[in-house]
Amino acid sequence: MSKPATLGRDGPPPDADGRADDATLIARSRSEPEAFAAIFDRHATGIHRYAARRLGPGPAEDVVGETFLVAFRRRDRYDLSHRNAGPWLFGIATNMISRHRQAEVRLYRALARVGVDPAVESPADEVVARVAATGQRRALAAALAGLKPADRDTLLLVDWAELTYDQAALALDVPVGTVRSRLNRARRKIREALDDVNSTLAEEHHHD
Amino acid sequence: MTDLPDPGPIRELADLRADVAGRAPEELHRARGQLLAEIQAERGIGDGSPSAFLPRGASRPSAPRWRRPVLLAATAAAAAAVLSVSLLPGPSTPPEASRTSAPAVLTAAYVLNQAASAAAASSRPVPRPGQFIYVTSVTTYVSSEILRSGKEKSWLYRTSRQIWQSVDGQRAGLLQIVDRGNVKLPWGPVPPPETGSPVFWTSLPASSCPGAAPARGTYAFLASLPTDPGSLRAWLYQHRDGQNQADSQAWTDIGDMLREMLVPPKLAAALFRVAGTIPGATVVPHATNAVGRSGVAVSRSGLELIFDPRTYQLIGEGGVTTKATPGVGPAGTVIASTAQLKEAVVGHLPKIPPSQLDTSEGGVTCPKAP
Repeated sequence: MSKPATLGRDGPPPDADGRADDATLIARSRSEPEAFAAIFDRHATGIHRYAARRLGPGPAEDVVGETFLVAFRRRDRYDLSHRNAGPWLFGIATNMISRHRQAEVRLYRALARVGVDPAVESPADEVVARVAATGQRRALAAALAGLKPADRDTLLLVDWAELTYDQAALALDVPVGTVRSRLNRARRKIREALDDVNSTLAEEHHHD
Repeated sequence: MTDLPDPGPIRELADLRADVAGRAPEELHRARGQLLAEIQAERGIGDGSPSAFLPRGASRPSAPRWRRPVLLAATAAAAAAVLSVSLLPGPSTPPEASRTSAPAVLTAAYVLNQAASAAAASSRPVPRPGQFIYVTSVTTYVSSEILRSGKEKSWLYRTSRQIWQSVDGQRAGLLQIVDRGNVKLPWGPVPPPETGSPVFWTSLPASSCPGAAPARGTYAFLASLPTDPGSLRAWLYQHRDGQNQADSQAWTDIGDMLREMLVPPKLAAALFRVAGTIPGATVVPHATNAVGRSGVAVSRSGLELIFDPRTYQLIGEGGVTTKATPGVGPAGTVIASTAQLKEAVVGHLPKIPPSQLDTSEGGVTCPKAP
């Protein structure tokens, strides 16, 4: 990877070096569809990374493909006042990921159960992974599996895709207040799950 | 909920699967291939696709909604009234003089024949190969945003355009677009303010090769067309530039040929006469172009050509919805207007710093000279 895959918390459009911004490219793609390929080249890596974190690398490429097809077909409706297309694309990707919701939750549950992450680890890594798997990671996966889908989408857009609150609101088409309240709820649940594990670990330590 | 303290990011969550690899674009062969296939498919249709009367080059938003407008029954009925148009040469008297003989009810054919006579009597510079056609215009088109709820929000956005097009298509041209802000539709929401850089420069690639026929859309191509209305009509219907029903496509193609172009007077006259033979056109007695100049328009399925009511010079185009459109408004909502302000022949392109210049793709690759 030659470039950071995510938007960054400040959400700068990737045109700091004087290239056309996304809105310009999308506007142009309305008469010259091939201009849209540049949107893919700018954002595919970040979308792939986000999708791979949620679904594993295999389904992630499907999500990338679907996301850009949908985006291309909707480009006439893109709001050109948003110079950075990242939030729009992450929003579409999040919709595509929600079609794989059961698979996503199965992966979290598998990780929670056996401590091996099927999303990122091949069977050959299994032994190492088992050793490396901590109780915290398992608790975290269980907590992610238990979140409401909308809360999980919001949390992972902010913490994994690294969107700002405003960008997440744009991606999900909800007010920024809703992003805040979803994040608060999701993070509280995850902290509680982690605290439970930590106190259990501490107790075990105590008994030793 | 907002009064609760923000728990802040969770380190363990940030670390989970943090080592997952995001693949570089070129590694996403399958996904990229899908997109490119879709782009190619659209270009296939798109190259022959009805562009309504959207401008060349960049910024062609939300065209599909009225790109294939629905011909209303009422319009079809009105068509009967215009069918009696002949391809005979128009009156040789200047249009102003002949206004006294205007029919009590204007027909599209009458207006178009007046426009043809005005065009035939006009004089235009004749460019040489290697020069550029320079056109300035103001455009207002609809822009839409679709919400996840499926609802659409639309408004109009205005731009000023300057375009330099290679006469023979063998040189790169240039396009400047200046954002002029958003305008609320009568039934629409208050549009978002324009942000960011308001000026865009795009290099338009060469479209034609030396020794080959000039590409459609170039001045040289237009200059090669027949100027006898009967022959031109036959040519237009045989070489329709899209998939619409034949009459709709012919109307659209005529609009495309007149837009942002210096059209040779005899060809302009013939195009107007052919337009006058296309069934389904009606007269809009009071239309306004993008800079507020009023005129008389001929309209077919919501696509209008607007003429000065005194001189019958083409002063712009208009676009009107032909049926109620969610998020836009009822039938008759004006969703596009343009004004062509200046046409000239120039020898050179202005120098634009490369850092400010986008390069548009899709030009031709010419074989190397032997």
